[in-house]
Amino acid sequence: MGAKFRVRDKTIADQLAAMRSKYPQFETVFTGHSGLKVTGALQPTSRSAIYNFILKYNLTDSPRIKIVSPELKKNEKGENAEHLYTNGYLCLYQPKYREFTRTDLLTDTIIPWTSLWLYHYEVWHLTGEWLGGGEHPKSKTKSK
Amino acid sequence: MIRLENKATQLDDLLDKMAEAVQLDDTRYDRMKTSYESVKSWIEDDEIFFKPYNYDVYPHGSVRILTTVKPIGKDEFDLDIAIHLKSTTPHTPQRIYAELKRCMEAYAKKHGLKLEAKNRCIRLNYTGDFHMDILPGIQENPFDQNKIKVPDRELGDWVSSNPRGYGDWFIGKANLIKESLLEKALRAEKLPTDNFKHKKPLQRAVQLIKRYRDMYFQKDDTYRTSSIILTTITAQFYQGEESIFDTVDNIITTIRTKVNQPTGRLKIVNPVNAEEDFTDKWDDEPEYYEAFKKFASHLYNEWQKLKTQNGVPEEGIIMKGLFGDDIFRKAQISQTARIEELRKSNDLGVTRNTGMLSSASSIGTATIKSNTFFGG
Repeated sequence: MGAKFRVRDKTIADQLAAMRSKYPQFETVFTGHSGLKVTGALQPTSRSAIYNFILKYNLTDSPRIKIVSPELKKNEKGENAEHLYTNGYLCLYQPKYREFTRTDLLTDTIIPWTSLWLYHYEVWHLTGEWLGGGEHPKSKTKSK
Repeated sequence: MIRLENKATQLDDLLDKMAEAVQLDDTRYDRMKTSYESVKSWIEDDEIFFKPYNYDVYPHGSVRILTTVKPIGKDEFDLDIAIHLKSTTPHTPQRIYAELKRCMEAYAKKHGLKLEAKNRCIRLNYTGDFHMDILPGIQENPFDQNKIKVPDRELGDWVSSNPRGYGDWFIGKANLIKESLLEKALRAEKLPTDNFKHKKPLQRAVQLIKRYRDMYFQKDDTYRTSSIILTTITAQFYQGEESIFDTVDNIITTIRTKVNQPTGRLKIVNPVNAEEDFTDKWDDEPEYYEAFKKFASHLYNEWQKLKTQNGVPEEGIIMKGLFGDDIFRKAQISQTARIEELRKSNDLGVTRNTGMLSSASSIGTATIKSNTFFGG
């Protein structure tokens, strides 16, 4: 047919298998035939707290991950953490740059990025600065 | 990189960076060195008195043993130097002091410096930068290359002093350990360990304890514990621990045991001159001893909290309280900058199963794909 080689989209079964294999201690279940839900805990560094999260992913939507406990806190000045949607989901990647697409495994993207986000969340509490970089929709500029 | 998966290393890296943030910086060190060389050659060229004699000029004190700490609110360091004349010098220490004063007055005038005649030394004030305390002394006997007699103007007599011997004693203690926890961690990662070569856990512990002393006595420094007491106690009780955290832990635990003994107060004598009790003031003015005990016990309690505390923000609050907000932040920012460097060069990974951040070269670690935090 002369079609270009294309990396195959991952199915929900692929995602589930990878998650169960790489992170067997997480609880990973199907939610319908095109979705899954992962419940687990991450500790970004040995000094860090252990954060419980819920990750939901449906092939028709982007992955959504939220920290359920300990509750994410505002800093001393009463500001919310950066890169956190008001509904509590973490903003882990820039869709425009196709950093996560349906060809990617959650285990290789969303999970490590969450660890990294949590690390920077803690450092933000310690220093008052978000040192993990990123972009904000309004300014369209890279911070730091 | 510092191993984020190892709590002890991660903490020691922060302690190390905090000590670095309060110590004498390289540029000022170079300026001090230049001034020191200049003073040295001025004395050597002194036709009136010093020129014909045989002597050494060398730094002593915290600059020599690498335990400098910048005072809070001021931006000045001390540089202690000794003029060590050989034992054959046919003069009294008082004469040497008077000649040094004369010689340095001319130097101070030429360079626009303020000179202060202290009890045992001549102080040159490099305003806003540092001051140089010049201690003149004559070697006591030809057999001990380190012992000198120095004039004490209040006593009207000379006293025995051994600043170089003290330095050797301290460095010997610091070198009880060949390789520190941080050196080992860096070597495991095949990174250069040069920075740590001269800063052993003992030196870092002294710097941190002195810094904490400055914080603790900031509001009321009437009964502040002196640096020489803290430095000596720390080196004396040091057992060759390989981490900074354990070094401090051992020192304050030992202090706690010693001050609670029923046999009388803790006594700290000069390790190179057993007749000199650094803590003799604690008899005449027991308030000093009480203040020291309270200070040591506060540090002990905070350190125990650090051991049990889990959660970075809480730990940060303790360390900010001990060592100061600014230097803690500086240390944390510098640790994070290193992590971000690795992230940018795709050398940052997560450990499988735990999801803990780690160097991508470690076993069982997958490199983190590049991402841009977005939105929010």
